[in-house]
Amino acid sequence: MGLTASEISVTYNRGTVAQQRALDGVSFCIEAGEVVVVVGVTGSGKSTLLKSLAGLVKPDSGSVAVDGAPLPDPPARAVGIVFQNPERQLFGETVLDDVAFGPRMLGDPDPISAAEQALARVGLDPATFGQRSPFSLSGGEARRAAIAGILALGARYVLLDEPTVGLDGSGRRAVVEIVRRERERCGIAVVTHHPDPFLPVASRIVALRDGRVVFSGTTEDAVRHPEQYVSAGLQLPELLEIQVEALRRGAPLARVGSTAEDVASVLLDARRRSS
Amino acid sequence: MRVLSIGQYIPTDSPVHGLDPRTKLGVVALVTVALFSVTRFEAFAVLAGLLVLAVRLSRLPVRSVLRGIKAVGVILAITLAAHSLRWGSPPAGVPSAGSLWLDPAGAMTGVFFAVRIVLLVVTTSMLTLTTSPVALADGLERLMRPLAVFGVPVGDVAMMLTVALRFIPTTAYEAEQIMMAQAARGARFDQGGPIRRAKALVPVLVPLFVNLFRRADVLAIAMESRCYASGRRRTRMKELVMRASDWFVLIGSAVLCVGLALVM
Ligand SMILES: Nc1ncnc2c1ncn2[C@@H]1O[C@H](COP(=O)(O)OP(=O)(O)OP(=O)(O)O)[C@@H](O)[C@H]1O
Ligand SMILES: [Mg+2]
Repeated sequence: MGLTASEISVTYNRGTVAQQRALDGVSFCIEAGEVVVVVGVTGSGKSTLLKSLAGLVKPDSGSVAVDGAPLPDPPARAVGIVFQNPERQLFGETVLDDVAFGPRMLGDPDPISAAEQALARVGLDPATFGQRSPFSLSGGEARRAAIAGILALGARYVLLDEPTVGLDGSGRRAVVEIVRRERERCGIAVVTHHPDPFLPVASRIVALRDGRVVFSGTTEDAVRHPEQYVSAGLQLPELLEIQVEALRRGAPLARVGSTAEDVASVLLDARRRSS
Repeated sequence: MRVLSIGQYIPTDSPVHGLDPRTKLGVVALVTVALFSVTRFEAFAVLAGLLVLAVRLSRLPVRSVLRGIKAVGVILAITLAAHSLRWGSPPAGVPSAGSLWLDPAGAMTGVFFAVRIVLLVVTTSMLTLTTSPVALADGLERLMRPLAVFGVPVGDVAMMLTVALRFIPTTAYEAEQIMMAQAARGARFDQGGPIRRAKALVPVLVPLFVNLFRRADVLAIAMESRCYASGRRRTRMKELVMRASDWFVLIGSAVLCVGLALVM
């Protein structure tokens, strides 16, 4: 079950000088109710993976399945994808209208109330923001409106491509908060170059390099085997780096889903006990 | 989802690609004049022979050269039909179907015009297939430079052309991304009649234009902050130079095309 990709390969511009293999036999899975963080250096194939999972790019080989069945047509009923800089795709006269576009396209009997609920879920009051032009929103608000446009589809799986890029601290926290809350309704994959704020809500991290999965595991696995994670050409998130160092000095591991506070108290407890 | 493919330049390392864009523009102009002045098939045969030679030298896939002909297929069909089909009571000894009959003399004229169109299309495709849009713009600018004497803002026009060409791939990519993003929300671009399809493009075109205007704004500021001022004479990083091979091709084509135009 879940949203799964089995051994998928994707090559862009096949048979031309610009031929580019973006994914090379990648297997990937998101279960309902979990958050998977996908990391990897630029060009490693993260966006291509999400597009394949959403049925927007057809893999040359391998298959994508959602809860054991092939992707429905249109895939939007089962899988929602929020692209990088999604605010650049807003077009409606009002925010509410724009968010209702997806449900309307899918034949939802009441697209407006689906849109209102989605706006509320991303923390934008439908009464005030709903009637504004999407082009009058701030960057962070537009980002959340665009995310609402996907949440309104009611898909069981939601894929977010770099949802925090270009946002300030409070904008990033708002996005993490959306992910934490939506986890109850759906399975979520987050592609990001800044995984730190997502670690407490993530159940797994997957690292790509050159179109292959080089690491897949919990934060705990990453702390125990940092060399695997680092082999993706990435730096370990600071919160995990601290735990790697603490583990090396004999401190216990914080459980998966720990925040900075949790890690700090685990370490302080250990120190108190040893003295 | 390749809906937008603009510009058909195919980069290969060939002597035709290596020619100065001005040479190629000049040759295309000469061949065009020749194609329209000659009145005999033999002249077409000579020009076609030269084109075949150019295609061979350019190392382009022949299919890409012929693609242009497919695009004008309808025009060719209409040209042939308009010249060769007659309506009325058919004279004896010509193929006919009811009152529709085939005029052999007209058919010859039709074939003549069709060959002219085919050669013209192949000639111009050769230009765009072997010359990058930016090189073309450069070449045009150099050719138009004398017009500056009459107050034509040649430099600005060239800059506009270059910037526009530079942003075609960016814009095409962005359009593709936006189409994908709207498809992810259930939009369909391949369903219904022409009106429904046109309407389906609204969610693509609105953000595309909004983003374009924003980008244009940023670009203008960036250019001005680096002291771009219109009307100023600018030097180039890479000056175009006519080499011996360019002069050879240009003069050779001139002699041949003018000769054909005068004689045939
Ligand atoms: N539409 C496309 N056409 C051709 N090549 C593409 C296309 N999209 C991606 N690629 C290539 O495929 C590879 C993987 O790209 P992808 O966008 O999946 O990387 P990414 O991990 O998302 O990178 P980033 O972190 O920069 O967003 C890259 O080498 C890229 O150049
Ligand atoms: Mg990407």
